[in-house]
Amino acid sequence: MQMQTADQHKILSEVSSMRAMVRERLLGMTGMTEREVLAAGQGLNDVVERAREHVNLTRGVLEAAAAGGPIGQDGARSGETAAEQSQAMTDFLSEMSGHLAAQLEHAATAHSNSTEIRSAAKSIAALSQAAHFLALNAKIETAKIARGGGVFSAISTEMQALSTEVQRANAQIAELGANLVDAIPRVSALAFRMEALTEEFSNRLSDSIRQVREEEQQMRENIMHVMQTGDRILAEVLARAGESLSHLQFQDSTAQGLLEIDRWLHDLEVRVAACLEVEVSPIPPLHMTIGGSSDYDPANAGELTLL
Amino acid sequence: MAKTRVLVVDDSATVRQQVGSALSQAGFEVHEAVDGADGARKIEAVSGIAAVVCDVNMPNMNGIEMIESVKAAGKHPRLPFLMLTTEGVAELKQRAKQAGAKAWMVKPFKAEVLVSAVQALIKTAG
Repeated sequence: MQMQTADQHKILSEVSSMRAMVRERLLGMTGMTEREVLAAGQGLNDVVERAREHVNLTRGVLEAAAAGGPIGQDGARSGETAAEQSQAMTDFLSEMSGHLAAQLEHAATAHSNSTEIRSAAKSIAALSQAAHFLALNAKIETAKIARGGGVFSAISTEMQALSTEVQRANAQIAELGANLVDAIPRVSALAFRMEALTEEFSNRLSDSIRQVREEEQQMRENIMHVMQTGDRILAEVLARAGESLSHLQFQDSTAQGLLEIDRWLHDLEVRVAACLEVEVSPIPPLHMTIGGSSDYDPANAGELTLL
Repeated sequence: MAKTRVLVVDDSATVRQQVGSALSQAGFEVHEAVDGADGARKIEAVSGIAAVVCDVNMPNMNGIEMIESVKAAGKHPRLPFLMLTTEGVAELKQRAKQAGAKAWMVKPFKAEVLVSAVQALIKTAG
């Protein structure tokens, strides 16, 4: 019986000791909780603010890029400039192609003219031949008439000279015509080739410009997607940070648990003392409102009721 | 355009900070009070308060007493009060309703739900 009583006193002592420990922890917690939570909350707020600044900065840059404006101080609207330059080059080539077509037309006309020249040269040659025969006849007639052929002799000489000049001019015209006739098809062929190359180059350039514009549009769409995703993520970060702050405060639910343990230990202490029939004056249970009421149920957190 | 003013009444600086942050981000102008008595004074001192978010358990004057005091003065009959508390006791909710509270939210709260609730209360009261 003595031993049993000793054990009970030991239990009472243990209970008192445990209560003292729980109370010490509890008082320590309540002293620290608010300050720590506030510091943690401030830290979270700072993180969120910095994140927001960063996102806003990034957003500004992306918006400028999406709008086709300069990205940063030294940035250039490179895509748009390239497209404008390419368009200018296409316009130039198109104009050049027009000029080449006009030249081809001139060449065709020249070819026709050169054919006419050659035809004229043939006529002149025929005339020259006729003049030559006339001069020859005149010489024969001069020989026949002998003394009285003074006038015929002069005519014959002039006719001979004329015939010679006509023949020389005709030869030059014929040579010129032949050269023209030979050269013009080659010039025309070159012009055709240049026109074909210009058109091909112009088409390729147009395709490139279209591709650049399509890629630019795609890039802008991608940027918009990135911005929208960034906004959503930022909103989620803010929401989660807010929840974290809210939950941080509720580390004092641990304190609520300790309060309950303190109440149990108090009751145990009283009952053991009653069993021992000894007088004890246990410290009354702590009555504290740390972050809420003792009947706080985490399952109801965030619940909204309209009254 | 002037921002809509909301008063946050809570003895916890952390809660005021959290609620204030959520409401500020939603575009509200947030004013703070540290207990019911301070809240009642701020409602009179700050013009154009459109809604009040308040705790229940506070020193000096609790949230429900604050509502009763404001309603008794009769100057703000349409001012909506949202109780933000850890309490979930039905009797307290009923008492708050009788005092004039329009909504009851249990901590910890979700910022978007709180903001939506405040917006809805202001719209209804307006």
